[in-house]
Amino acid sequence: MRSAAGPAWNAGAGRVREPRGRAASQLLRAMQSMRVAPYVLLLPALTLVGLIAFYPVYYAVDISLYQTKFLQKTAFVGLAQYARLLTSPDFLRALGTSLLYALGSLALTLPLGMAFALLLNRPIRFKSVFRTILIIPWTLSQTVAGLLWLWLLNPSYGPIKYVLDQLGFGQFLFLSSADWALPILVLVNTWMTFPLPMILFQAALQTVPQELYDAAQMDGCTAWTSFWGVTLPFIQNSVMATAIMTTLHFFNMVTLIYVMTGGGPLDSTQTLSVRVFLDAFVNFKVASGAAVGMVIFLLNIVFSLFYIRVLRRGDLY
Amino acid sequence: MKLIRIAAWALALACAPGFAAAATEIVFWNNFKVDKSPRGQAMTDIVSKFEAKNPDIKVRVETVPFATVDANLIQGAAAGNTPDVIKIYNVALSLHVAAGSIQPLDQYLGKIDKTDWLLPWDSTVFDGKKYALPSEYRFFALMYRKDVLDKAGVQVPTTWDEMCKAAGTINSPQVMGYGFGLSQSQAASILLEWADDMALAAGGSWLDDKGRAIANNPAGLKFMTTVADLVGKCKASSQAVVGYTYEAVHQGLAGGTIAMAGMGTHRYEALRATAAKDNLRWAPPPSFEKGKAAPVHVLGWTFVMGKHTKHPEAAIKFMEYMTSPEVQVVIAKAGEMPTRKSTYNDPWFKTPEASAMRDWAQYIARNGKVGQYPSGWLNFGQILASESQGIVLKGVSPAQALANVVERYNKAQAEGK
Repeated sequence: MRSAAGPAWNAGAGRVREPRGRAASQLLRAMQSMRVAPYVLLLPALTLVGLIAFYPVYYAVDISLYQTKFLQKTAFVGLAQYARLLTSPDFLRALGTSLLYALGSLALTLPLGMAFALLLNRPIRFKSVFRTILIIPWTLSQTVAGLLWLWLLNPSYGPIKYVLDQLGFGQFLFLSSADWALPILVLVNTWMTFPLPMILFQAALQTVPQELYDAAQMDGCTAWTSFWGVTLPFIQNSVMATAIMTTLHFFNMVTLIYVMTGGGPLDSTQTLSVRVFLDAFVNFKVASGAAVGMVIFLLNIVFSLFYIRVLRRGDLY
Repeated sequence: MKLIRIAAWALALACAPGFAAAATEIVFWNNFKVDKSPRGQAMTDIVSKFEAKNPDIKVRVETVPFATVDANLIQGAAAGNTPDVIKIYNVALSLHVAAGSIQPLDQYLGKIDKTDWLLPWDSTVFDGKKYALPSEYRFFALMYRKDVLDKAGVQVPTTWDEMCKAAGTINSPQVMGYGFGLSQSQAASILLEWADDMALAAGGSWLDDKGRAIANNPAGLKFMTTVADLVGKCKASSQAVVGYTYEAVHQGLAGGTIAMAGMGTHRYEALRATAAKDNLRWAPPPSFEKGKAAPVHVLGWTFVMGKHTKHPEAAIKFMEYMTSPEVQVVIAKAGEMPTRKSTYNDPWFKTPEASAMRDWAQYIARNGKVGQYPSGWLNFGQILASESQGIVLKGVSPAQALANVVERYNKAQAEGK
């Protein structure tokens, strides 16, 4: 029920209570006239975010410019840590491994998430049961998922080894092979991450108007051309947001890789994030770890800007 | 309004020192969860008994796992805030002494008997100062599956030459003759423990007193050659060892897909609690010389005091209690090997259940040594693992792998701090 003065639940909202103090009254008037109220209200949240997001970045930049002993700064060395990294073959290799891991995982995760989202968007029975089952890998912690796959892939007693034995295949080394360890990690990461894009894409698919598909069908579009011509342009914002989120996640991943391979064999799975962990928390070379961490931070920014640029260029809706 | 006033008074009274609980609360970082498991239950009982004996002290037990305790303690010390008592693995003691995250105990220790320890009092002394009280001991022994060895008609090997032959006889795609781990995961702990003892048995060491790698010596070469021979010449192990961790070897022994492996004695009871049961046996580690027992490094958890403890007297009281013979009998029954000599006088140690622990105590009394590990020890493990993997996967010669270890480690220690 609405009255002329507004909805019933808001009755009396127009009657602004007179502030008791003069100063308070002036402040309120100033806020209203200068339209500063939104900024004032945002201030606590901005301060909090600043403290928990920007201060650590500042701290990492600062400490990366020093030589350290454990967590204590001992001498200012400027950009020496970065210069050393750029000439270090180990660092360059870790950079390449990070790119392979992140982009390889992305190349599998997004299409797989999209494929399942499209399937779940169809009118099928037991849809919610399938969705629940498909989400399970995403609910596991990286440690649990890593240990689970270590067991499955164990070349001595793992069930996959048993199946391959029964099929008459020779012995597979799985994670003990320098050639296979990284591809296996990408597959395991894909397995545990694809449900997130799946859920986000499915939510986005539900916003595509049916009329567009009807019109496309009348124009003679196939399912495939409808997907490229109607679906994808309509949900491109969601796709890009998901791509940014998962890319950041993949570049920052430590636990899954460390639990499964520790960066080996022959350092073939040592990504930048694993290197940060080893430098900072195993070898206690905090400045070196911070410098590598800043490189990851820059990578994340570069990839995010790239996605945003692509998104703006191809903005159809 | 009246209600608010009453609540404010109540809060103020509750926070006042005189009104608050009179007991001093100390914070204790434990390495395992205090839950309903046998050792979790044992810890609950021990802490309750301590609190009953010392009504003026309360202990808050916080679980900080092995993988994070060192980093957390060093970070806490840098921020000026540490717990009162912490359980630290003895390998990390020198790291914490160097980082200044723990403090010497000498000024707080009461009339503790310095001679009542299986290993010398000085084993946890750094720069003349006592930093830790050992909680339990363990060493890297040979664990084997009796059923698998019997089936193959193989005797338990006592030297590495015998091991090569025996494990080579057993090894097949289904069962690995000798299991070991070269993975960098889990801080390469299974490799470090093995390599540490092998160098000792060969009469050398990996690092010098200043923490620089001196691995390129006959002892180091013996170890690397053993790795190469086990996988290559003797075909006693498969290349899968490259990805093996402590956990993988443990599971292999439990399931009988690994016939023999080196492993800490603390895993013995847990292994026998699996399907392996009585088929899981232990033996002293093989040596390089027939008839000569292999010396071993004794490892284990220790109690230390945080640098910024607020209650040192209460903390030391708790540490002394936790290492008292009375408590050590309880932890022995839960599978941990006591550090105090007098603990072994308890009647429980005369039971068959305690026979393995009795034998271990005798073995380390004769052949045990406590090593002191420089702060770069874990980094050394990462590099040693990587280069040992090269021997197994790429056929790098043991001498070349050793040279790489020395170069990489010394370079890493010198730069990028």
